[in-house]
This record gives sequence, structure tokens and C-alpha cells, in this order.
Amino acid sequence: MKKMFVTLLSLFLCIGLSACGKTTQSAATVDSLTETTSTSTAVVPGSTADGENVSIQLPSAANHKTFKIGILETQLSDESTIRVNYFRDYIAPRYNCEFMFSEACGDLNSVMTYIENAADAGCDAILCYYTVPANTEQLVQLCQEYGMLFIENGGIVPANEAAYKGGYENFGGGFQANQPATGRLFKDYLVATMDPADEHSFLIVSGSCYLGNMQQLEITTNIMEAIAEIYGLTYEKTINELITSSSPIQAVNDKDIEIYCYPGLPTASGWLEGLSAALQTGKYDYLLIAPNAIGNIGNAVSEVESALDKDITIIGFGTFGTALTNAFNTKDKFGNQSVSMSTVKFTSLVSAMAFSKAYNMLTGHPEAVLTEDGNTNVLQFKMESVTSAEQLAQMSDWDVPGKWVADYDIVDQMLVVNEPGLTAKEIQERTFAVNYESIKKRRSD
Amino acid sequence: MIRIAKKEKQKTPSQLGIGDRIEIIKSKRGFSLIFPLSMLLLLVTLFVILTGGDFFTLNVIKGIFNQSLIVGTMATAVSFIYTTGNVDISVGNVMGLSAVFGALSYRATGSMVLVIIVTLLCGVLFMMCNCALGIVFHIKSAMVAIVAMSVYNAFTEVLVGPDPIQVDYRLCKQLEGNFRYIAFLLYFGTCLLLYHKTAIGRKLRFIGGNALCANQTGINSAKSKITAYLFAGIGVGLAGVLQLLRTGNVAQSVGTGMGVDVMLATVLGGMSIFGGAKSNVYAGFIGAVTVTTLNKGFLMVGVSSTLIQGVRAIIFLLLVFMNSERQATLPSRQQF
Repeated sequence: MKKMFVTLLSLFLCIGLSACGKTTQSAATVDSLTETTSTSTAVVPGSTADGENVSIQLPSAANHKTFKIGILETQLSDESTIRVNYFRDYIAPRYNCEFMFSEACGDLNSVMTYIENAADAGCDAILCYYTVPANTEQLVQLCQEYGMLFIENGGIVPANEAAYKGGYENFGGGFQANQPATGRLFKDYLVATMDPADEHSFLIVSGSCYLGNMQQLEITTNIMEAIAEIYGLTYEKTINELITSSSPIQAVNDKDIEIYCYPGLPTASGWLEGLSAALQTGKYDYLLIAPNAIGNIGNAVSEVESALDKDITIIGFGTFGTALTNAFNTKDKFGNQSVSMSTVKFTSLVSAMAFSKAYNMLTGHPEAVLTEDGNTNVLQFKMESVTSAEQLAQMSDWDVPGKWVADYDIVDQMLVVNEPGLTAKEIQERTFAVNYESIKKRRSD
Repeated sequence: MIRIAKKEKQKTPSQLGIGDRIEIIKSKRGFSLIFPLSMLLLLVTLFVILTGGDFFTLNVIKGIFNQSLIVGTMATAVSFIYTTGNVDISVGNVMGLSAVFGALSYRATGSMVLVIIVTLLCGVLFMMCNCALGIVFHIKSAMVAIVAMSVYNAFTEVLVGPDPIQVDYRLCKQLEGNFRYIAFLLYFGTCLLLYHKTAIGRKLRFIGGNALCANQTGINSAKSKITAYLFAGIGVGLAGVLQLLRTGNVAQSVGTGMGVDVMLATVLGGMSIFGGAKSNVYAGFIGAVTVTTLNKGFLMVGVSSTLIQGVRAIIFLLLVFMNSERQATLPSRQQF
């Protein structure tokens, strides 16, 4: 009986796991493209807004061997799921590519292991979402050893300058948000919504600023500057000193406004407990979050709001997905939406930028990833801010399978095979042109 | 109260069922080596077929060996501790902290020779600290390891700080080639010899089988445990050196969670973490190679990353199920 029970459970587990590993029609489509490289049309599932399959004309460059691209993820999240859907189901069939997704690679050793395994599996390029600038050059060299291209999710900082200026032929550079613009979204919102006459106290989650994360540095700097501007205060230490502290620190200032900077990786053990403890002091009514951690923090905040009868305003960085949707649609004890403002990005657009770099290089156009002075470039995009559940619903509905923001039109505009002579600068201009207003206009047309 | 066990009726060969035959095969001395090796061979064959021969290339085999080296070295090291019936999951953190000291010594002097010496010495020192806590204060080794993990991790975080400590990557690449193979083979060979051909290994296995009995036959278990931790320390220190040479830097997260990887490799390699007479020193390395083979193989076959973890878990469970010793009665340690 026991053995039968165990066998049944094991069977159930196997079936469950098989069901999880969804293999959609697109895989078959990719195979068919691989076999017949001269084919010029292919059926792409869900190409239209209503999800129907349509025949499309492939660009001539798709008549090549199947390019295999490894996607190196550091954590599995809503964003990575969107990325998988976009690359595997949308990009792969049209551009005759195959994508190989990694498990979560959290340290350099596992990153190197994945790259080595990807090389053995026949990958031509790696799109790397592991961003420790000090390791960029080393990873470029590792990929060079295996004859693969390397493109990273990040930008130029002193620690990785050598990679960008080293003339590595296999390095496609980086792609990332325009960090100053992202930071300014926070500053503009705070300055526009806060009244200097009201006294508030602030808990600023500085995340991995102390690790040199440029995006979080920009966001936190802008938050600190906004507070200083609103209250006309001066900090005792420099903003950089305060936000790059690896331990929690009080930002002492001449106006005695309570400002507390809380660093750390949201995934680290004990991080959330430490933040909860700070919130439970009841001092803070503004929670300003630089890392992508709105989903982690929601419960801790609502507990404090209920227990201490204190309304806490949350402003943070997020990505489209269940966590952010829940945060915007949940009303706190005081009837306000849990999150007041969040920055978001269109994952398909960011993915398309990364893909365009790889594809341009693989199709023999390395000039498309170079700046005017011959160094490897960083392709940037602008984040958008969301302030209501309705706006979030509208925007998140723009970037879903079947109606991606970065559709074939957008991607094609980034590829040199479609427009010989296309430069990195022009690609950048086209990427910046994809924003809230332009997408809204496109969708309403 | 004296309990007299009923004598089991002796079965004739014709009366033996499949279960009995499996038990007989499993009780053979060579089983612990042959079974995991056969499973490994089976996996390799399977992946060779599924990849149309791509899996059986020099690059892939070299890659598997290289990727298995760090966990394999540590698993070889801890087999000395596991044999005595003690468990230490802090080895990953010990390795990490040793590598941190090695990297710091490089930053201070720029000498790779010093890096190797410091890392090795730190490995030995920290493992001996764990040992001393267990022997002097009579704290269970698992408890010591849990506390040690936090302490070593905290030291690592403080010493490393926000930016990884860099060691010249080019220098590491130069040394990585032959040095790591020679160092590993030297260590592994010495361990094999000491463990299986000298009194050191015999005593450790005896203690793992029954510490009380071993004491009564004149074996000083405290002394033997010190020996076990000493060899483990050398191995963990060596793993720290290999880690430094592979990545060229140490970050705050170095070694975190590796203690569990080592334990998994040991069990997959066919050794019981409860130690005893059937323990061996090679199981950990075979296990580490098996894990790497599975990871690489699945990726090359094209199994989706979401599925890999599940499939790997099922195979692990299956291998452990087939390979593990299950007591017919209440659990007791294996005797000679």
C-alpha cells in the first residue's frame, strides 16, 4: 500500500513537472525554420492583437543558420517570465534564433559555469543579466575564449571601462535604463506632490547603492536631492557618503527631518526583518524604495499601518507583474492605494534592444554597437512612471503576448539587415522614441 | 529486560526474491564504487545519444572535470569527517573565508605563492576551530557547523565589503591550467592512500561504525577526529585556492550554500553521511561529477531551465533511493 502511494505521488510529481515545462507551438515553428533555412515565410503564433496566427514575410537575413543565444538570468521573477515569453515565442520564430535560458545564476562561479555550458551547447551569444561591473571584462574574455558574443545588462562605470574601451570584437556592450532620467522621475514626483509646510519623515531603501548599482544610486541621489530641495535642508554628510553606506545610517540634517537610509539586497536573509523593525518604530510615513522590492515590502507596511494607525506612502521601483498590480490595487487601512508611484519599463523593449545588439553582430554588423569614437556603446531606454491602478492596467496591457510594445516593426527598425548603414546613434534615437505617449498614440490609431 | 531476536530462517538460493538478491549485491564491498560509477556512465551514454555525440568531446569532458573540481575537492575533504559520523555543513563558508584571506594577502603583497599558502593555512585553521569546539566543549559537530556558518559568513561580508576583492585574472588563468590538476590529483591520491591503505582510514571508519566500541578497543576518537578535520581542512583550503584561480576574485557570497552541494555530492556518490564501515573517500568526487554531468547534459539536450531543476531532483531522489542503506529495524550504525 505504502509503495503504491509513493509510486502514485512520484507519478503525480512527474506529470506536474511535465505540465510546468510548457512547450508551445513556437518550438515546432523554430525547428521547421532551422531545417529549411531558405524559407522566407513562417507562421508566428499570436502575431495579431487578437492572438491569431498569421503568415509573415521574414527578413532576408533570417535565411541563415539558427543563431543560438543564451540568456543568463540572476533571478527568476515576473520580468524574467515576460522575457522568456517574448524571446522564445515571439522573437525566435521570426528571426530564426533559438534561446537558451539559464537557471538563476547568483554568483560569478555559476555565471562562468553557465557560459561554459552554453558554449558546449553551441550558443553564439550570451545576453547577460548578471551585472557586477568588476567582472565584465573577465566574462568578455571568457566568451572570447569560446568564440561567443557577450552583451550585458548594464552601463559604463570605472570598474568595467576597460571592457568597453578594450576593443574586444566579441563584446556587444550594454543596455540599460537611462539612469539620470529614472532618478528624475522620483525627484519630479516628490517635488510635485509634497508640501514643504507638512513635516514628514523618510525611510529610504538604498538597496545596493553601496555595491555601485548605478540605477539605484541615481534614484536614491534624486530622492535625497528632492527632500533637500523641498525642505531647503543641508545634510551633514555628502549624499554619496550617506547612500553608499553598507550599513543603515541616519541622514542627519540642519532641519532635523528624520531621514533613514536602509541598504542591502532585498533577497538577503534578514533584510526584510531589519526593514520591518525600522518601520515598526512608527517614525516614518514615507517609504522610498530604490531596488525592485515593492512586492517584498507590501505586507510589512500594511502590518505597521494597521498596528500603529499610521499612513505610509510608498514610492518605488517596480516591473509589470502580479506584485506591482497587487500593490496598486490594494487599498490600505486609510483607503489609499498601497503604492503611490512606481517606475516601470516595457520588458519587451529592453529585450528587443538586447536582441538587436546580438543580432546585428551575428549578422556581421559590429559597427551597429559602436559609438562614434569607436568604443562599444550602451543602448539606453527611458523608464515611465505610474501613479494609478488604471494607468498601470493600461500600460501592462500594452506589453503582453500578442501585442508587445516592441513588436516586429520596432525590432526591424533596430536591425542593420533591414536598413544598411544604420548606426548605433540612430538605433538609440529610435529606442528613445518608444515612450508612453508614442505607444498610446500607436494603440489608439 | 532481555530481548531475544528471532533467528531468521535461512533461505535457499531458489527461495531468494528480487529484493533479497538486490540486498546481496548491495552488500558486496565493491558496490559503493561500481554503482555510482555505473550510474554516471549511464548518464553520459544517455546524453551522448541524445546530443548525437556532441556530449562526448574533449572540451565537454574537460569542462565537466573543471566544473566539478571545487565541490569535488571539498566533498573528498569532508568524507573524512562524515566517516566518523559527524556532519559539517560549514565547509562552504570556511572555503569562502579562506579564499578571502588569500585574496587579501594578494592585495597586500601581489604574490600568488603567498595566496596559496595563506588560503591553505586558513582552511586548516578554521576547520581545526570547528573540531576544537566539538571536542573541547562536546558540542555536536552539526551544531558547531551551524554556528560557524553564520560567524564565517559575517567575517566574509565584513572583510570583502561592497566590491569583490580582485586577484589578477590573467595570473589566475595561467596558474589555473596545470596547477589545479596537479594539486587536485596530489590531494586526491594522498587521501585515497591514507584513507584506504593506512590505519588512519580504518580508525575513522571504526569510529563511524561505533564510537564506543572503537574507544574500548583503544582507539582515541578525539585524536582521530583531529586527524579527520586536519585532512578536511587541507582539502577545503585547496578548494579555496581553486575557487580563487577559477573566478579571479571573491565576493561576499563566496561559498554560501556550498556546504549543501558538498553533502548532495557525497550522498549521490554513494556514501552515507552517517559514516561507518562502508564509507569511502572517492564518493564525493563521483557525486560532484554526476551533478555537473546532469547540469551540462540537460542544457545541451535543450531541456528548459524551468524543467531542469525538477528533473534533476527526481534523478537525485532516484539515485539516492537506489543507493542508500535502509534499515529493516530501528536505525543503528553499520558495524565492521
